[in-house]
Amino acid sequence: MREDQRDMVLRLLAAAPAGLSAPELARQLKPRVSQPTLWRLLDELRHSGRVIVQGRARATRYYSSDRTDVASLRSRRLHEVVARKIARDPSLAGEARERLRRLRQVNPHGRVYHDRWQELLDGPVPRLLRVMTEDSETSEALRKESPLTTLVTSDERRRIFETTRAG
Amino acid sequence: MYLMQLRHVILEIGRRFEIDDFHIVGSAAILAVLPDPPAGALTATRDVDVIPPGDDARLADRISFVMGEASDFDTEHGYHAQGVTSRTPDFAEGLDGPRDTRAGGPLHRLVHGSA
Repeated sequence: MREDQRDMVLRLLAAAPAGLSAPELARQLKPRVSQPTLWRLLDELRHSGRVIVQGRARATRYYSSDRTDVASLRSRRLHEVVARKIARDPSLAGEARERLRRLRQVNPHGRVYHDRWQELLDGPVPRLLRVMTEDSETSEALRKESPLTTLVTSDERRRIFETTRAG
Repeated sequence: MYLMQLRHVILEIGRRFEIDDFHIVGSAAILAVLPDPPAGALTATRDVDVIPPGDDARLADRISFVMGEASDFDTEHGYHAQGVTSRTPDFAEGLDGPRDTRAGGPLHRLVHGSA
């Protein structure tokens, strides 16, 4: 029975790219399981590395580690923080342009990605913010070569690490 | 990424975490066997995926924190290390292929050859 419940939770999470909260999971589980049982299941799955946890208390969301990895999730969170800063102060894109110049020197092989970032930084801010934070394979690939994460403070980064974890 | 940068990451991991036996997986691993690969998707990477000894998830997390994306190390050098475990998915949906591209042997020698 427990095995079936575990598989069901994993299937539901695998079908949810944006992850699910515990109440969302509970609503979708058939037959229903009690809240303590669900927490135990999620805890076991997290310890076995099958589930990634992001956020705290009521804001906690669960992701399938078969669908995403903790590094990608953290990278998206880092970019969300930067996106909020750029939304408030678009001049920050200037710092990212500086960083982009440095990345071009360090890793010339990433030119395709660098050119795309240049285009985004020079284009309309809403498009830049969307691409930075999108949950898509293209954005994920771009984030790996991103010039934007230097705009995150060490405190913001530490908080993201503490609240997005696996195992 | 260049072999010299990969070597730097490996040496720093060894020094900072006092470990001398770990695995490099993912696209950076190709540099261990093909030091000067043609430019392309595999060499575009600026991160090195590292599986620590014993597939230790906590140590993987520490490596990511200390030397990962947006760390001081990344800010200073423009490339970084990412601690992963053998459970980390590394192939996009629909793509088949060997999950394990370990280059532990040659890289282990690389570390000791340079230390």
